[in-house]
Amino acid sequence: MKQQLLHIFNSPSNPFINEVAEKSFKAPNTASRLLPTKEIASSTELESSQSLDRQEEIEQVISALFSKKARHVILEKKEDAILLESKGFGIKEDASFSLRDYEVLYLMFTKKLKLTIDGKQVSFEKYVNFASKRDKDAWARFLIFRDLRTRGYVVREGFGFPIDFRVYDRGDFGAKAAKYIVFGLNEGKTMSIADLKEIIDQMARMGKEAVVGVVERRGEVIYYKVGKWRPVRPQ
Amino acid sequence: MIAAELVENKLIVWDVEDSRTLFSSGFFGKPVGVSKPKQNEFDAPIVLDLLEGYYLFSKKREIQVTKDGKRIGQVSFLAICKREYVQFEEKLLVYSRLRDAGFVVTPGIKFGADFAAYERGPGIDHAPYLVRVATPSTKITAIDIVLAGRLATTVRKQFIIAIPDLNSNEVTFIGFDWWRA
Repeated sequence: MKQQLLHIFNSPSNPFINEVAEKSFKAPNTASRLLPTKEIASSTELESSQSLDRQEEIEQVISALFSKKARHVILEKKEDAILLESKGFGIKEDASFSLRDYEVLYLMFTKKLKLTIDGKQVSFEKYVNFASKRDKDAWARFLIFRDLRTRGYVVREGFGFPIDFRVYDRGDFGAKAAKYIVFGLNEGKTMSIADLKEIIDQMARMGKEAVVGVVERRGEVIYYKVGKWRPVRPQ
Repeated sequence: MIAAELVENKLIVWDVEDSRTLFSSGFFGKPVGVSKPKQNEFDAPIVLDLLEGYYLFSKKREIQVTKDGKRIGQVSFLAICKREYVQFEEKLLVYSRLRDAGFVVTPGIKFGADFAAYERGPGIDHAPYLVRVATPSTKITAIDIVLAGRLATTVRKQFIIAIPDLNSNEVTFIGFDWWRA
């Protein structure tokens, strides 16, 4: 599986590493800065993440339903899809607009999404259970997505490593490619040095900064940049 | 050629002049009983650890090594080093890379690392790079990563994991930095 992924990475036809393809994810408007500059400048301490918590700039509660055919949450109203797409959510495919499970959970958690299945409203708790059944990492994904989103980053699907996201620098979404790739590592799990090296090599080739997001056992996320170091001594 | 005597798992340079020469040529060795030596201002023999000793012996050819009054060659010296120090060759490769790049490399054990690499030298630099040697199969945990990042933040230098490859003679260095997000 891993080998296949790595192979996909190296293939020039891989749509993920193609920056042109990446542009197709771009929002129709460029108003992607989520935080005022002052607030960014004040985020100097790890502990300040709580104080950074802020509401999504989505006024209304959006209605969504679970498509049994697509096995994804989809939006019906076009204006809702356009709004969410402009904020960096969702996948537009042909005529439909669907959300990833971590996006669904985040929007439900922030009370911006009302989800129905067969005409009945589904609770956050129910959807956590459902998402966790089909993806053991659903909770970790939600935690990292929520944490980064709360800090003012636009966060998109990664490249298929176990837990990974493309993360746009603040204000970059809609203007530039994602600057960071965040890899989740749950406390209690291990990663081999060889895998870490492979990740760093891949990211370096793609011109992205690799970040490991350590998810501690109650769900706090701590981030570390990882990268090649060259033993060069300044003269 | 400077004479060094192999005593168990260390080398001792008994001649004080020779000791001063080695020490001042890049902080090789540690004068016995001097905690914070300054360049040449000490009056004691130095102790070389096996890594720096082997590096000075085989690469720099600055010392000759005796054991029980007899000179020993590279093959038997290496065999002793490998017996006395786990992963000696891997660590030697990393040590050599850092030294060849011009760093002053000292034991990093008091920082919880294999090496402390200084740009100029202990007591001159504010803080060293902390280097830990790992193999590709080494498993790292969330705690390892947090420790690496925390340690580096505390001493204001990067924590580095070095991955030596004895087949290709290459070393990959990976640095960790806390990201404030």
